[in-house]
Amino acid sequence: MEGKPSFTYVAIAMLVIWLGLTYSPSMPFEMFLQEFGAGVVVAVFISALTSKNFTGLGLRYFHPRRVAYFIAFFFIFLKEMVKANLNMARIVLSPSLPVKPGIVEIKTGLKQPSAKLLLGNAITLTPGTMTLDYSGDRAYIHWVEVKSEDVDKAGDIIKGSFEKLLRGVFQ
Amino acid sequence: MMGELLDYIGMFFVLTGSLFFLFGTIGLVRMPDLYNRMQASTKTTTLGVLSFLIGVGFMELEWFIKLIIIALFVVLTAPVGASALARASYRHGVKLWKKSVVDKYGEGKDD
Amino acid sequence: MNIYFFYIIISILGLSIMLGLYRLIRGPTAPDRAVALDALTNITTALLVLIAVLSARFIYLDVALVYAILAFIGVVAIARYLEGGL
Repeated sequence: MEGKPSFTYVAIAMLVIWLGLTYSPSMPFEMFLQEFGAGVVVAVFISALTSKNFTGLGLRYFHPRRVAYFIAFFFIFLKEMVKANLNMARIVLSPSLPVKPGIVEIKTGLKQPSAKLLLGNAITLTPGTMTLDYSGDRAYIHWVEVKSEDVDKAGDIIKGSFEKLLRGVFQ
Repeated sequence: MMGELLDYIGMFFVLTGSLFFLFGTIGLVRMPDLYNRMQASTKTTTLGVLSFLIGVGFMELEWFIKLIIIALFVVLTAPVGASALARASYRHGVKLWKKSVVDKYGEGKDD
Repeated sequence: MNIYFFYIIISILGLSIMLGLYRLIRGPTAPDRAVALDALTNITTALLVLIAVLSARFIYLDVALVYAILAFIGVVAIARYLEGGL
């Protein structure tokens, strides 16, 4: 946990989410103003109650370098996800079912909880791997085709370029 | 002309999405143990929803923003739910398949 | 929109739901059933969006969104229950 949670950031984020949810095509302008007014009231109320429960990340996370790393992360994530699914379809459809499952342990250098969450999600949706649990800097991964049982070697294969990109975003 | 082209792109994405649903559920039936089933179903149905919703968004362009919100929500929450369920079933006592090669998670903590 | 295309899509989704239901009924343990349910909720979200397209009502998308949120909460609740923390 770093930085202190800020009422304003939470309220703005809530307002943006509210507008995204209540938006509808062919909405007249007066109706948009109504939605905006109601959104301001609700956002202020909700963030007054809950803003102390959010981790404050602060404005420095909108630095162009971090945003560029995040966009790169996002597109590589999409590419890996499509690859993972084609791989899974190949396994599922082949008559002999070529699986060799096991649970391996890997190390991560990331510190922030949100960075760990993103890494865990990325691992879950990429080829043949699924995050089971974190304990400290260790993560336990279920792997459909175990290629290496060594902590470092398995980590290199599983994490790929995600950890480097996430370090660019969060440090 | 343009609208027809977008329709065909949308149909392609919708068809891809539903085929991934089919692969996911075939995996659900064929895979030998819980954890492999979970791998098959979680990955494929998540990409299935993403592809399906984007395809519908190409068909109805005005709906695109809302569909992207739903798709992002599913993509963000599906792996969290799957991880929680996998860990819970491990602690619940579901065993790995007998042909699994390694289990580092169980070695660390013997009850 | 080509109606035959929708017939194809609905038959693929129907077949997937059959296979998911097989695992939901057969599944030897409770976690197996929960996994099958998780896959089925994703398919149902897609079906709700399909219904919104077929009836051309934007407001039906909200149903799909709320269904996705409730499905996530349900899966996490089942996980907590299996872990013994509920």
